[in-house]
Amino acid sequence: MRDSLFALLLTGCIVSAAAVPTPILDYDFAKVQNSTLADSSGSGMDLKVEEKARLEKDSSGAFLASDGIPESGAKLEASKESLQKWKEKCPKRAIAASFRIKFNKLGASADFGIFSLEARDDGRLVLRFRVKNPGGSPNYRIMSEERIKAGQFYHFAFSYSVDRQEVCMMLDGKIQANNAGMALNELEGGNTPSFSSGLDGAIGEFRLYGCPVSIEDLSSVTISKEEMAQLEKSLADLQKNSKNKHLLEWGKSLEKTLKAIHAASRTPLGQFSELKDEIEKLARLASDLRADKSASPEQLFVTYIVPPLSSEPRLPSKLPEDGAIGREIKIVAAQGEFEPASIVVVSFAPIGKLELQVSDLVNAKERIPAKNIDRKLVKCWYQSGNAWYSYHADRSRHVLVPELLLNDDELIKVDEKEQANYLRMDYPDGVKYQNISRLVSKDPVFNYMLEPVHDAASLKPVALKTAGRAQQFFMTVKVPEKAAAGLYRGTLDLLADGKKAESLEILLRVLPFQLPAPKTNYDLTRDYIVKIHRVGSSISLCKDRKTAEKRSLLEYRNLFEHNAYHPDGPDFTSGDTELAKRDLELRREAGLPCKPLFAGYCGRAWGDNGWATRNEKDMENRSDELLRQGKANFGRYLNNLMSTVKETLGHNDVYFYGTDETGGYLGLIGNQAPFWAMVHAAGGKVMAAGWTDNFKFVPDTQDMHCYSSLDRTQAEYWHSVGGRILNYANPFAGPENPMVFRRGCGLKTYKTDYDGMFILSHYDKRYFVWNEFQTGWPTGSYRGFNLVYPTQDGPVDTLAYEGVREGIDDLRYCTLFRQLAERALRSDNYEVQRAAKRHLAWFIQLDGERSDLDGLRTELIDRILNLRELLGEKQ
Amino acid sequence: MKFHQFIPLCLLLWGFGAAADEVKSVEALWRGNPRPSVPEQLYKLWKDENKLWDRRFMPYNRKEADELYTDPVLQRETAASAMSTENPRTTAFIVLCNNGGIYCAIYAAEPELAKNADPAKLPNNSLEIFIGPGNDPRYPFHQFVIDLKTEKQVYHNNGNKITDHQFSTDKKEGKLKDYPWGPENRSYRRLEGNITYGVTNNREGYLVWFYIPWQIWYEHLPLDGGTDGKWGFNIIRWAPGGGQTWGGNVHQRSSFGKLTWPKFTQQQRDAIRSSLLNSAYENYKKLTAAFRIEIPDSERSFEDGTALAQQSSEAAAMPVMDQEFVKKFVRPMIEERDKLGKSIVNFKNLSEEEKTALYAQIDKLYEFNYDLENARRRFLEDKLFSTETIK
Repeated sequence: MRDSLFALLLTGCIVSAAAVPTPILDYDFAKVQNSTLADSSGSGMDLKVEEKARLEKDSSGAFLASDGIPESGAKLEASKESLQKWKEKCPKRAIAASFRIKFNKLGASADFGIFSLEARDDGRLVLRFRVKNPGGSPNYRIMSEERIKAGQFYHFAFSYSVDRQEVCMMLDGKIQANNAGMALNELEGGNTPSFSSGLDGAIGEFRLYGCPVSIEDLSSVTISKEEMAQLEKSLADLQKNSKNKHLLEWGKSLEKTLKAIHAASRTPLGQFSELKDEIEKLARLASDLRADKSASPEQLFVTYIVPPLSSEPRLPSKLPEDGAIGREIKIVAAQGEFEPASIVVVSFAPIGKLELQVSDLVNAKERIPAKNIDRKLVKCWYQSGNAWYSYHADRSRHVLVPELLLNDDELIKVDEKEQANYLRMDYPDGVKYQNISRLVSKDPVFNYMLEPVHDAASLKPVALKTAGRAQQFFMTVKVPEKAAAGLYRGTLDLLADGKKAESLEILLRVLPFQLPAPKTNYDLTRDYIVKIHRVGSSISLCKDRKTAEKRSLLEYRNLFEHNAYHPDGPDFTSGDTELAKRDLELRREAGLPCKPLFAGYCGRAWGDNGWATRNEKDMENRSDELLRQGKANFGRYLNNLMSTVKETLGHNDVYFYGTDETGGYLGLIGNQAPFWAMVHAAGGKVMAAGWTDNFKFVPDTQDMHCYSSLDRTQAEYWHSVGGRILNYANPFAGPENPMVFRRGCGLKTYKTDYDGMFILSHYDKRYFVWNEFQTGWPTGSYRGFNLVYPTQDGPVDTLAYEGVREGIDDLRYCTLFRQLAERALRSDNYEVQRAAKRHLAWFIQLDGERSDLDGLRTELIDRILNLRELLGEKQ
Repeated sequence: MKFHQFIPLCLLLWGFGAAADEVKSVEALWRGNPRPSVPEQLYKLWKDENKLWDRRFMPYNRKEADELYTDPVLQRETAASAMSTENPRTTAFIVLCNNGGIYCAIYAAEPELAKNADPAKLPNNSLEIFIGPGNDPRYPFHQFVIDLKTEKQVYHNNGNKITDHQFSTDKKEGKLKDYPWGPENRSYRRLEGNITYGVTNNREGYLVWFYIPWQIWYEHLPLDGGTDGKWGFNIIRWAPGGGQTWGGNVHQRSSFGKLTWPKFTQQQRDAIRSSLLNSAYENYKKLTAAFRIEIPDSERSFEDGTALAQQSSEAAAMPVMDQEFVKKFVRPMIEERDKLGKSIVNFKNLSEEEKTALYAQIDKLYEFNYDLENARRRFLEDKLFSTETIK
């Protein structure tokens, strides 16, 4: 009864496990042979069962019964080699264990070498292990909430993880402690397992893990007859109804696993959960294949055509909900536009090398070369809790999310059992993978300029190592500006282990127009600004100007191609005018408009010689001399910046950033006014991020506000005084969901009548860039503010970044639509005017927060074509 | 079949509730009767069922609170100067649910109210609430803030008997702000426009309630228990006595407490599903009204289209005038969905299997707009690819 209740309880906490962890020690006491118990995990850390030890068995399995004396236990019997290996891999940052245990009496303790367990007089269990804690206690200790009884078996499990900042303890399926967000010390390590020290009782089914393990994976489950019957039926139906030989084979292997799991004395809950997910997935695949008239019994995988940007995270274990099996990829794009498409390939059996080959796209007269179709794989990796939707980190959790658009899958190795990412560095003396998911506070700043991180130049073959593995691919077609309008056709061939296995047709409709730069919703003459922060390759980190320039140019081109036209900088505060000039030239070379330029800073730092004060009372005591000094310093900087920009770009349309996120009289006026006045006197403009105080205090001197909320009233306020307003922090970079950015940078902000977006940031140099689990300044609770990740060969793009591009492309379509509609409104033809009004009436009612953006894009195209026809526009 | 559909009686797990203090859990109580939404009912709930209110609030970690200044989107009153720990305020809450949705009442003691102070001088008090439905860590949690102190809401009376109230459920008053972390789409809906709430006060403190219809989370209903039945939940109070939290830090989903659901009886499960199906069908009928009026093509005009569109506000932006689209795509969609109406009326007579199958189609009704937009996109795409050249 106890066991069945236990199983019943456990089934309540099933979650889908990404991968079932593998124990590093696995002792099944039913497998003792000649007094030796081999470690089933193959570590060579075998046990010698002592003479007086008793090997017994009950309905739950075999166990070792001991009287508390060494002669009745089991001691380690391992080779030197195995011991050496054990010392090397002995877990330090995470440990977990699961076993059955019985204490014959309370007030006793047992030392298992790696940890010890005490049954106190009051029945509460105390778990101890040694940690590195300079100056503090070397023992980490955690106690159960509930009390055990002597002479009774319990299932005990725990998990301790420095990186997840979490320790949890379970007794018979009930959580005894689950402390999250704790700063934990590393384990001392180096100890070896032992079952011969003090246990007066019994132990069985012992498994030790070197990685954090979820409570679900540490738990056991008993499969009910009904569940077993349902799963068997599902697999039997497959054998009956499916014709695909690979699916059938996969089904048989799942059947075998199911039977093995059912027969086993103990079934890990996570393993069972994963198996059920697999069976469910197999059933859906079989059903989808049945509906596919072109399906072949031999086919090795299936291809789903999916929306390239979606709120649905495409995980390796999941089939797409919003896609369908297909053999046609349809893309619609304007001349000169970048337009994405995507597929998800799901294998029915392991594929060593899956390759994607595209042909040229051709129509009757013209050809778009295959090189204009960029192909990438979408890499899933572990990011902190709140991943996919928020820029606030919850570092106690590692969540698998799709994010990176890579050519080489091997650039990042993802260990789904350990829930860790490893980044490849190609050093001259060999490749080294670095763990980039460790929770660390004092790692040196990752020198993104020097570390040899390289992605491949083009998409390399991808391995789909297990049946049922889903892999998303992302294609971006770059339509030449001069491409003739029309329907282009080409193919995307998928090769499995060198053989052509599938051919998809690509249909590209090139529209008979180019897209204009985006304009604001409230004023068709005003540019919609995409200002992006913290950009550029730092020469000081590189110590090689040529390399820095090469990388800067790659980054600027990357920005230009993603509609992020207004990167911050260059930085004039260092005083290196030549460097700043060169930077401006590189921007121009990349096609960036550089007008306006967001290069200046005019905040309180210029008065930090003591003139700028922390409270208003001190303002009266400020000396004129301090102000004079501050103004002199600022003046030199200001004049240098303005004259260099004028000389290089031929204009003075430069914004200077005031103190960030400040408010009140002191913050906005008291400490900054003299510098702001100097900016205006020199022909520059002032901007800053902040809140409502900015309009209360400085509507007359601040030219552009970056407001941390979307509020139409604020937009009206700032426009009423001729100012501009950008959307700030809605969102910051961090979330991977591309729709957060497509909508946030695009229609949502546009329809609130803002002048654009302030994005923080392209990538964030303050952090170890690739490791989001690094803590340290600025801690807060933020994730890495990365829209791209730096490599030696230019940025690695992300789904979110593609969301930015498409969000702004939406606005470019809106702009063209509005421009045409405005022209039609002025037509002499009454019917054309009426049509324009109908179109505009539709447009004004669009909901920027909710409208389906793919649907909106198509609708805009249809209406643009209609307006062009009405206006007699030709290609 | 979804995995959770054959999870057995897992709700028992919660009954133990023996988790250490770090993981708090509160169980929602089923109440079939209407939710208390006027002050008298609210005070009665506080008075009569006082023992059921959860008071396990802890001081918000000062260091963590101090760092919240870095959040530009939400400026909280967390400055150390405003957070004396000498006079901590009591905070307590209770969660109820019925066939319509989730109801939460919160009591926030504020001794300054008794001093008949100038309303403008009363200390700031606000509640920051997090709800993370289901078990998918990639599904955005909901965050919203109820500002307790606005001049309009502050009211003093002469004792425990409530004689007058300032009581508002109008979100335009600016007292409630939600922070939707997901972009709105067919599987994520923001609270704004769906949540209702109210704030009242007597001389001892504020009483607050909010109500969220199941509709927001109709695909995450915790009817079958499992981990889907343990939602992340937290209430943080920012008040002069110091920040207080029931379940961890802001945004730290792993530290949130758990909102667990009762083991719903079959009757309660049916009541929830039936209520949602009816609401979904009503919603759908409203959305499709514009497509149901038969006007001969020859008599149609733009004015007709506008007039029709106005009848279904959500679908106003859709081109109801495009008869080819309507005939080819919309009418079949409507025919398919109209059939569901008959089953919904007959819900109570269906077998459990039929009920489950019917409920699985509820998104076709609630998300008709998205389906419509999707159909429109396919229709226009077909047009774009139907010929070699377009003008």
